[in-house]
Amino acid sequence: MIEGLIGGFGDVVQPWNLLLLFLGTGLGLMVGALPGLSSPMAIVILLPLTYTMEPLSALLTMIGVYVGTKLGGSFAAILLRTPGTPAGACTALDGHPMAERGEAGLALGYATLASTFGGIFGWVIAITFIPVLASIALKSGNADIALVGILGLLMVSSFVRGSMLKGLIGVLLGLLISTIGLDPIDATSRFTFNIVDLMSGIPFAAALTGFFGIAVVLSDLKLIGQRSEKIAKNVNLALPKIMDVLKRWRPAVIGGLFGTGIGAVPGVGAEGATWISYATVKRQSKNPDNFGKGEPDGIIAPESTNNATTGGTMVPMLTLGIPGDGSTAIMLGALVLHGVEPGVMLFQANSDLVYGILAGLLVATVFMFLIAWRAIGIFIFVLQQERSWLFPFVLLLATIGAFATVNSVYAIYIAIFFGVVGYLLESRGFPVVTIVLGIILGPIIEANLRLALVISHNDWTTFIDTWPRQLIVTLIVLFLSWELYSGIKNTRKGKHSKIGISD
Amino acid sequence: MSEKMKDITVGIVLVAVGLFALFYIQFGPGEAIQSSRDANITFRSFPIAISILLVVISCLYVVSSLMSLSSPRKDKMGLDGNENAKVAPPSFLFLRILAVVAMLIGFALLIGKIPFFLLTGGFLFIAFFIFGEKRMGLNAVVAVLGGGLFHGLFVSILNLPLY
Amino acid sequence: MNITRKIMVGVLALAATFAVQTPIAQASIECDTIRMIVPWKAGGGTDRLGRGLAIALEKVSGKSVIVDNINGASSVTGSVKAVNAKPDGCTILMNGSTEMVAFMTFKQNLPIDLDKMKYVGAFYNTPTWMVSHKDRGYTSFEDFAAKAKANPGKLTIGVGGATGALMIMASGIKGYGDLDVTIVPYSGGADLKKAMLANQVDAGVIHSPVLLKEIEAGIINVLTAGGALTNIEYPEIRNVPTLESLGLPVKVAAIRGIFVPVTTPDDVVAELGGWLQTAIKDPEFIEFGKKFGYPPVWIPGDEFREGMYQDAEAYKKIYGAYIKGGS
Repeated sequence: MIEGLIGGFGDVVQPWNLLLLFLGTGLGLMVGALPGLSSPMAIVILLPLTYTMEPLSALLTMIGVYVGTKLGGSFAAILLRTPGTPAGACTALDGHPMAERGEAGLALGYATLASTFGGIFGWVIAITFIPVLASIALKSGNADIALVGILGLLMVSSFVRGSMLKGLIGVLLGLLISTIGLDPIDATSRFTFNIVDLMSGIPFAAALTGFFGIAVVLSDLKLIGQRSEKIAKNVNLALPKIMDVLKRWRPAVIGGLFGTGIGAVPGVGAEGATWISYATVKRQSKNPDNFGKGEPDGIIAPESTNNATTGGTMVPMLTLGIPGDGSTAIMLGALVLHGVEPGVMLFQANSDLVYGILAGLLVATVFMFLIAWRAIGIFIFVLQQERSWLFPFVLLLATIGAFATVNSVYAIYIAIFFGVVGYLLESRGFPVVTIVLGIILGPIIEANLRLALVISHNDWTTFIDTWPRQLIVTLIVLFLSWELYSGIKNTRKGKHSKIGISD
Repeated sequence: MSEKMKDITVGIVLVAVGLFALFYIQFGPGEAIQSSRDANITFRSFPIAISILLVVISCLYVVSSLMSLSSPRKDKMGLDGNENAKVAPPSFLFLRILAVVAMLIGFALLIGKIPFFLLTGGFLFIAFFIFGEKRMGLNAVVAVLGGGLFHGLFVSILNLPLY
Repeated sequence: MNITRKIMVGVLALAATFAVQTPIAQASIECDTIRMIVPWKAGGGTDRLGRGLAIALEKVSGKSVIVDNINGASSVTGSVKAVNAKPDGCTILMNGSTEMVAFMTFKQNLPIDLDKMKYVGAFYNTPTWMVSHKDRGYTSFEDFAAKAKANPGKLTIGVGGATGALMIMASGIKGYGDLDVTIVPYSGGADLKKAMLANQVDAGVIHSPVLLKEIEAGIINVLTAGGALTNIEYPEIRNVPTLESLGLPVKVAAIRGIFVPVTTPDDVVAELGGWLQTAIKDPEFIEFGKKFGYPPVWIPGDEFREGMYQDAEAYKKIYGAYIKGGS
């Protein structure tokens, strides 16, 4: 393994490959920072350009973009409250409030450092545990994934600031929305009202663009006429001190573990990883009430996660030929177009290429740090212009971005619909993030649960068949009990805000 | 409309959505395929469970909104943590919001029908106005530049199928 | 001028107009860019084939060919967009026969059907096969069938998607073969592939040449196929018996071809067909196809069309008898 890696680094450190990695990462950062442009989009564009390159060079370019967009998306989330990519959406929760306080530099700095840490951490874990991770990825059955999904759903309470009722309604709405489309087992059309496009369900990225792009702009319309003074004036480019960041190693590590783990198991969904990581860190934090108001840990956790997923998704991609997300799916396609067949035999047949790709991932993360660190000032400058000039561009970019997710106008209508719904609900105090959680986890839970039952011939004991499943079920039960207990305790103490009354 | 009334309205809408979903999935079109007709969990199960819960909890929400004192809300939840609510909102706020939504729908309808740089330039021009920029000349210039940029990026470079 | 001169001038003028008119043999497709709509996500099997073909078509036609991934509703969204485009040969649809026909079998009243397109021709034939993990111990379809008959209700066949050709094939096997097995509908090919590698089901029905490398490595066995495997790049399995030869009238083979709007003029269709036929002879494309699993083939438009209508008939029977069934 080590010799292989050294060889891989040797291949990567050629001038041409280094240049491609550098350019790719820079492009990724830019693409990520613009709402509407996404990693799969950029990688697909690069595909024809790479036909004449060697397979390793082609993959390196794409990996650079892949890594760069993970951080770039968060820059927009922090400065504009609109994420540039779905992976960056969670960072807005604490990133934007921090930027509004005038600490944009700090927020971006935390994000950059956390992303770099997560990327490196995820890389190390992936490399060290490739055989173990690959075997977990392979052995994970539908029952396991369903249980993990249910556990993730219970984390929703972490996103509810105040009214539990509103949080629950949000999740239920999200779950209901996720049932629109063809039923996963029967292929019966549910809630499609004879509209063909609805048969493929609600495209998640388009809904996200609506909730976090259009809804944000609509809600910020009331701020016209006020300069973005708070952010523009005290543009504090002061970057976080290294000691301060090192003190916060716990959320970074938790984030990294979630990212690598969830990225490595295809089907759980790398999109959901940042939310689950954020929720977990919030629960364990000594000051959970600061989350959502500009708590650095609330930036560090999701940022570490989203770059750790790059290491995680490499595992099934390279060992099994199974993609973990849209970008890796295209990279697999690129491998095939270059005459390399991914799959269980890739390691044996093309080990140089595999080690080169892995080495490139680490170098890309390092480049991402170097470029981003220097460019923070530029980003702040560009993205802090007058709202009235900037937001029309943001709106347009988000709309075109929604279109580009499936290359059809249907996605734009979805984004507009959810933009309006998100705006209305947010104005009544509903945490829109819970709807997002419901949309992400709904299909994971339902499809896998029913599939598990089909395989076990309707035998429910399949969910406690193996020790991992027993473990997860125990966690679920403990979780629920804790929630009920603290809910009752708080109501008794008079903390009415937990359940019911809107505040 | 007072805050309380708005809350109750939203609550009632949510109850209605839940009820609609419940009845539509139970009595509406759709049937299971042969092999899963006898299954414990069918295509109806999840939507029914979720809609029932939604109806119940939305009712609780309506009730709690009715019972709450109509204190003005200070701190909005969700992502909008802005405290500038004290400053007066711009004129015609509701119209502006409506206009933005209408523009977006218009944009979607016109894709492919008119050249992209015209579409994006026009969109930007109107949007600048809605967002409060009154200097029409400057708006026009930036809109044209923006339209060209978008066309260059999305049509010429990225080759998006905007037809 | 005298009469003879006038006649000569007249004849010359007439000849001149004929010379100036573009002869039919030259390009009737005028655009510089052809948009090939691939109604699937980027990176998937059909998409990769489409991109490989696009490269070859560019060489042959001298135009630039851009792949548009218009995704949705099992390829219906993209297909509808393509067949409603201007019928000038500048927008073409690249899709697989079984994907389209199978979805049309499951869902009625779609905005697309087999009559709404013209068939330029097909270039890649991938029969669907039934495979099994080696640890299950089945080396032939007879093995599997015997075990299924001995243990009714116990065995499982995985498919990639609850609608689609894979479901049709598995249902056909279950119905015509009178086997009491459970069909497990995974969410897609990638999910099914993972399940197969993890040995979570007794057998799986998937488009070839997915899992070919694993078959070559001996991890997966091929039990049978919905079409002849005689062209596959791995000689050892070329003689695997088809379902038809085993007595089950189930023919499922994903044939990728090019379609255009139904109002496209015949000369345009002919020109596209000519390009396609030449493109599949391009050595790089043949190399690409072989690496994928099969060399490309040429199936003329009419034959392709006939095949799809026959598939539609056959799938309808299977759907009616074994999927929808009586209540």
